[in-house]
Amino acid sequence: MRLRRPLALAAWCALALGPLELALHLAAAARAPDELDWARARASVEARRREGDLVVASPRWAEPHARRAFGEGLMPLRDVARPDETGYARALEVAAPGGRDGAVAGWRLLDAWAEGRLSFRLWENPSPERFVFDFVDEVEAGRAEVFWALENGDAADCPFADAAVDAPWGQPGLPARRYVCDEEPRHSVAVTVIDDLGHRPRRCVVTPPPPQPWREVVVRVRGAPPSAGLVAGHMGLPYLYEREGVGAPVELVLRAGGDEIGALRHRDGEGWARFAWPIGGRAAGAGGLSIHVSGAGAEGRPLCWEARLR
Amino acid sequence: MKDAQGRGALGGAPATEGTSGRGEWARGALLGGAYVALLVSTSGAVGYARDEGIYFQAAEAYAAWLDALAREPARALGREAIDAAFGVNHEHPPLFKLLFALSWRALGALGWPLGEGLSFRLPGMASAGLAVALLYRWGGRAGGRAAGLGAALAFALVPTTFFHAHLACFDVPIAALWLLTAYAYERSLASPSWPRAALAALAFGLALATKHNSWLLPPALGAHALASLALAPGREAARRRARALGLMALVGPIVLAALWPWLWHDAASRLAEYVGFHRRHDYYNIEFLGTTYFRPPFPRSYAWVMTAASLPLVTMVLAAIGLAAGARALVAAATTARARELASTALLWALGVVVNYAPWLSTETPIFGGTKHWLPAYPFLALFAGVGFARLGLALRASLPPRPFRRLAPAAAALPAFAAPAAETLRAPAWSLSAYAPQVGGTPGAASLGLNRTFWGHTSGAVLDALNALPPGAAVFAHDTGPGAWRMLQREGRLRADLRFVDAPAGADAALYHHEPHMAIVEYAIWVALGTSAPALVRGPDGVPTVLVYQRRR
Repeated sequence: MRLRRPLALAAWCALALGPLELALHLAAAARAPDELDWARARASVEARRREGDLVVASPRWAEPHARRAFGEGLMPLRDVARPDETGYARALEVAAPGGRDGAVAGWRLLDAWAEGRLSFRLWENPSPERFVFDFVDEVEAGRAEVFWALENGDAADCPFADAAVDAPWGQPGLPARRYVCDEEPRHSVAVTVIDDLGHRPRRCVVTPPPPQPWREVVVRVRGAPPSAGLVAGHMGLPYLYEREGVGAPVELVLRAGGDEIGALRHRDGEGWARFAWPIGGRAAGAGGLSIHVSGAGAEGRPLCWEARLR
Repeated sequence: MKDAQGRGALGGAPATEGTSGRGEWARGALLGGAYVALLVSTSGAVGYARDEGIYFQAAEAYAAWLDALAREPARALGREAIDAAFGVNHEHPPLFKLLFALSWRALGALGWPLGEGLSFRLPGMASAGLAVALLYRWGGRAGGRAAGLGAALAFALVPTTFFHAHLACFDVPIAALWLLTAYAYERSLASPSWPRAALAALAFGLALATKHNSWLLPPALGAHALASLALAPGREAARRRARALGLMALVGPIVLAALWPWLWHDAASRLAEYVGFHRRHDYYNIEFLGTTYFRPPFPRSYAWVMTAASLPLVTMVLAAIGLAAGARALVAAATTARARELASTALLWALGVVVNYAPWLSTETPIFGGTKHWLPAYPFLALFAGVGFARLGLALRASLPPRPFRRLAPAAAALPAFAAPAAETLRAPAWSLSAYAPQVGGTPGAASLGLNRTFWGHTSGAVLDALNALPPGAAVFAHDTGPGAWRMLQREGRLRADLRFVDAPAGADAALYHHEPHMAIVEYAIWVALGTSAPALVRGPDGVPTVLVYQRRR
């Protein structure tokens, strides 16, 4: 049997595919940074990171390596589960091959270098926001007042306690140190980390609307600096809640003393939604600043929010 | 294309049939045996999947029932005893769980020389060996020895197939029995006799008793019977097809019922429950191109994209060449009886592919199990790849100087053709479910594309060293690793017996996280409960984090 020349050529080409695929496979394996690459990167990060700089890993899936190698000293939870990047003046990106962090898009590249199989890029935020007060820190430290309130003003205190508890599957984790409103753990108010609709971690205050007959749950903080002119924050529910799109809306209201500063109704599917309201110098009023969370039919829905003053 | 005797072959080379059949079966068995040995030797690297834990439990219950049947048959055949044993995991038919039980009992009598968990896994591995042997034989029969060898290698050397071939589950067994049924059916048409038809019917019954993918056999074989009749019409041909299919319809359900004591009481409602369970299966979560799908509509592209991303590229190219050869055979079907036979074979293989992918043309069909859902299509793709391989070898041979190079052509073709699939499959058995082919950038590329990295929690097997280094009595939250899988690791002594399995991170000293995006909340709950977001250990293929170990901050 005789084969025509083009057929033989095609056969040789097809055969060449095998070694090419093998080479690509081996190259992909060889390009992958290993534990040693990440461990070595720590020295560079320590040398170049200034206090307050954000450290990010890219692609996003590579981040666990960075968290392990750099530790919480360089990548604290507040950075890893940040609400957004607006408050950072600089970011140090550590990238595995092909990695590029979209969060710093539009920032100015200050420096770039490579070590081993990792690349480093130092970015500068052209317009960082300067925050002077963080509600989440106040709640975490137990410096907030938390209570359930009725329409008529009656209230039931949620004391700050230290009691470990299991969070049910799919619910945000509950720290031992939390505000306990009743015997139901899911009614607790606490600083936790939720996954937003894009599965990103968000450190926030989980504040579920209370059961009937209570109208709302209130988180009040005091001691905000009088210079603050704006409150900026986010609110959302964990991914498994948001994605269904069928839950009752949850309402968040910010008050300074008795005055309403702003209100936002969160509907499933809106994700980690931003809000920003001017407070016109009322941050340091005698009544403090309070977040009120309520929602008809939304009892126990784990609305999580963060707010900062600038 | 014809050989010296005028017999055609899809692979272009002389088909291997007739008197050499026994020798070819022996070679096929050798190949299959070698594959089983390979699976046994790498089994320790593949941790136990969550579903395996359930099947271990079912197999132990079945084994206890078999013991009772031997001791007190009257009592064992009563409804109470049957329900107690076969109520466990009654949403899946029993054949392989019975085989797991028998293997566990038999090897247990010898003190489980290969490990207790492997004794459950062995029947599934044997089914993979059976598939390899059958592929060698069927490929050889239709396309020559090179086609047989190519088909066997193309099936064996797919990373995800290699993973599933390790497990005490039903995905590779049903692929093997689907193939066996199709092969036996085809033989019963080519060389008609009642015993051959009965063998095909028995194989169909065994498939029915293995997994519900077997429900796709009647439409595939029915379509083939009609279409191949159009290729070679005639009363005798029609009679052969009617006999094969009729016997299957009769014997298949009898075999299923005979092997499944669960159906011996209240058969109609239990059968309806079984069918209903799979027709209205729950939807689970699966990541695909960066989106987690958890309810219909599911993307129609899922099956094809996942196949294209996870099969070795060279295997797909060989299959495409083989498909082209099959298409040519169909065109040439009218010329000779042998040509019609080859066309019929190619048609059956094509139906084996198409019918096994067809459910995913619907946007309602669940997609949570990744490529395992359509695994019964892979042997047929492998058969086409085998033909493609043979064609390639032939073309190469023709383009080489006669001596001594032509003799070396098959080997010269095999090495480049299967080096990459072998490397992709064998490099890291622990991560073979997470393996993606170079055309998407391997596993790192797939992670960037947002393709599923893992499911079933088996990757705890890859961090046993870290778990065994925990303080005495440590409580471990194992996340997606099921309690049955955890217990088996402890029973085998691979995981320290003093480590405590806890089902929430709050009370844990250490926690595992098996990455799936919809379970990110579990990782974040671990951060909150254990007081740290810095894992103590990160492992995965090619640097892609797949399983993480956290330890409580002291």
